[in-house]
Amino acid sequence: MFKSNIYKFIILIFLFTAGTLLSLIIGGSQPLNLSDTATNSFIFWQIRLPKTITAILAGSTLSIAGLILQLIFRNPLAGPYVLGVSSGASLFVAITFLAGNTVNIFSNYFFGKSLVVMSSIIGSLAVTFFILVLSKKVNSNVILLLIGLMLAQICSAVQGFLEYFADPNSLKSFVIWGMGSLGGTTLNDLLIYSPIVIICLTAIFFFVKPLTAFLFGEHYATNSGIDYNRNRFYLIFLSSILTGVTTAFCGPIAFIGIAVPILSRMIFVTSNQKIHLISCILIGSIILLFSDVVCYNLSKTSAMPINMIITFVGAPLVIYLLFKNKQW
Amino acid sequence: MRLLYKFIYIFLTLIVLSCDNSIEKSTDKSYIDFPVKKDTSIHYAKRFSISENEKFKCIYLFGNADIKDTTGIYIILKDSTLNLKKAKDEFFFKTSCKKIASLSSVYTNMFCELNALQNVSAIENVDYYNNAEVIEKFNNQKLIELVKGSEIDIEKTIVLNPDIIFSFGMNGDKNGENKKIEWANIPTVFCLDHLEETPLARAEWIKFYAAFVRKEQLADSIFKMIEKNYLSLETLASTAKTQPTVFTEIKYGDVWYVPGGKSFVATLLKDANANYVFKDDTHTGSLNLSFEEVYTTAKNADYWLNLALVNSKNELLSFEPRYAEFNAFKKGNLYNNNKIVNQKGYSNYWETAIIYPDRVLSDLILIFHPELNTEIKGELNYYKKIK
Repeated sequence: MFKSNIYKFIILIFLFTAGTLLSLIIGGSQPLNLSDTATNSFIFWQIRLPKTITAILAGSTLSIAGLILQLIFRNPLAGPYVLGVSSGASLFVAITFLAGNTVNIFSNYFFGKSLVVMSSIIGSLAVTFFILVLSKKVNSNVILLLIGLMLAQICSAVQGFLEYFADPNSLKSFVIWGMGSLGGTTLNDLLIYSPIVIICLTAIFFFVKPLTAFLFGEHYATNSGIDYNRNRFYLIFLSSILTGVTTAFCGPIAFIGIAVPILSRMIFVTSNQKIHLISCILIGSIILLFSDVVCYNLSKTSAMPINMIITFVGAPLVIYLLFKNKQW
Repeated sequence: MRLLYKFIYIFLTLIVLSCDNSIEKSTDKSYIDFPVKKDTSIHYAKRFSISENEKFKCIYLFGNADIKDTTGIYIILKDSTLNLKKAKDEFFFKTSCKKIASLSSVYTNMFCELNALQNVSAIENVDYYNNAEVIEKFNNQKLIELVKGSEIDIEKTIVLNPDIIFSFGMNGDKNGENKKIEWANIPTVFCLDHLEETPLARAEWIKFYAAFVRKEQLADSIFKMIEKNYLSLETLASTAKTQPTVFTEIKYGDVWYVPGGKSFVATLLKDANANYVFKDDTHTGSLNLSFEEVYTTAKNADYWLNLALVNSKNELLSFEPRYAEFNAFKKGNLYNNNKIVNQKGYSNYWETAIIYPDRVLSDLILIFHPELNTEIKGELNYYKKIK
């Protein structure tokens, strides 16, 4: 078992490296031409490199956030997109963009996209904790998921309401953000994005024991000497930050949060959550890196929307694996 | 029982009365049976034509997919007693249209230029307007809005019962609104001016709208003036010694939508003696390009135009800091077509630039060829420098 897991990790690391190289070399509309060094240097360092790093960060964060939510809610259908966490983040970003002058004046005191990042994190935290409060009253995970779906709808409706009354300037800024893009992140943005992700992911690795215990339920975790409520609070807090920060920089990205933990559990049949944390980081990154390459190579000149490609690449893969692994 | 008979009698009478429509009373003769003379004064526009005789005027609209398809025939009766046989896609109007629903600020402004705003009873959404006349008429409750949200308010439209609706012929009939309006027997024109390839062709559509309000002579004189100005400006621009390179628009998400090489904007840039970086493209619509593609092609361009709703360089950089790498940004040659905007932020460019391409051309010449300032003697109409 241990040996087979090592082989699987070697394959994942190979795919991760290949995806990274492909994204850097052919993940764009322009062939890198050695004769025009200034243009190529700009394209490589300012466009492709930040995009590739963003794909890795976004893939890792959404997958880990999904894994945590699936373990806490003990439901494979849980994920930041399904539970309304991404919608909460989007709503708070919409408020930032569309609320008018008060917030705009306030935004002058923030560096770059940090106000958007904060709004997004607050939005995702608000929805997650609301669901958590409800989870105390509701025993059924299915009902909890349905409540999450309803919350996502409410957030979208409020967002639609704000968009309806917004002036065209603010609306345009929000529409540009909401299109979901890996290519909008710059090296300066990565100075905010990367440290937050690295700190949160490192912190999550300190919660491997509670995460493994959560797999068997609250009673098991409590009997194992784990402070269930406190650990759950910290993990939800960290997963909300991960979802919020990625939504802030890339816009709402679907599918990854729910599908990658499922794929990880299919590939690694183990209850050791450290393995799943590492594999989620690798699989999430691989899917986003290859989706990015496909995005730029389907059409020679333009980029296809990333959300569409992720679903086209990932959904058939999950369906295939679900059929192949029927006991799951 | 007598009461029941009475009720049936009233009911049947109402049905018979409701079926009566004097305009569409069938006769044996169709409009085709009468010889007509084609209006040869339409030089540029290819998506409509006008023919007439002493009894009526026929306005033909040519289709979306193929320019040879006739998608609508609108017959203005000069003799209101004349009854003609009606076929599908044919609409008859007595003398002129007095209650118009104009669902684009471009069409409404065309009616304003034709001194026919009194014929307009409804617009799409007053938020899009800078035109003081339209706003005043709306504030005096003599105009209503029919498209406050994303869809036309069918009930309001049916209650208004306009003689004709001028609608944008691009979005299709996603929710079946057009069918419902058709059932309500309200003629709708899906205007195809956006498919015209040259600025003068789009401006010539003023003759199309004029035919419905019988202001043909005024339309001819307005268009002649526009044509004269435009052609003389084009000649003036051709005397410029330099031909600066230009690109336009900003990216949305990962996609940068730029006008095709044969589009309205590309033609204006060519006529202003500028070198549009995508001029070799053959599309009349827009191209969906990546940031890399636009950067590679336009990084050294001299000018950058039409920057969405951007008002300052800082605002532009807040969308995408890498815009600073373009030569036009470094040189400060950024011009946006939002010099005059209303309280909601909508520019008057979208209302009147189509009608007056000569004013847009004049702006472009002033921007690209400042040495010709003395010849034009004016200031920018639609554009402002972004600082």
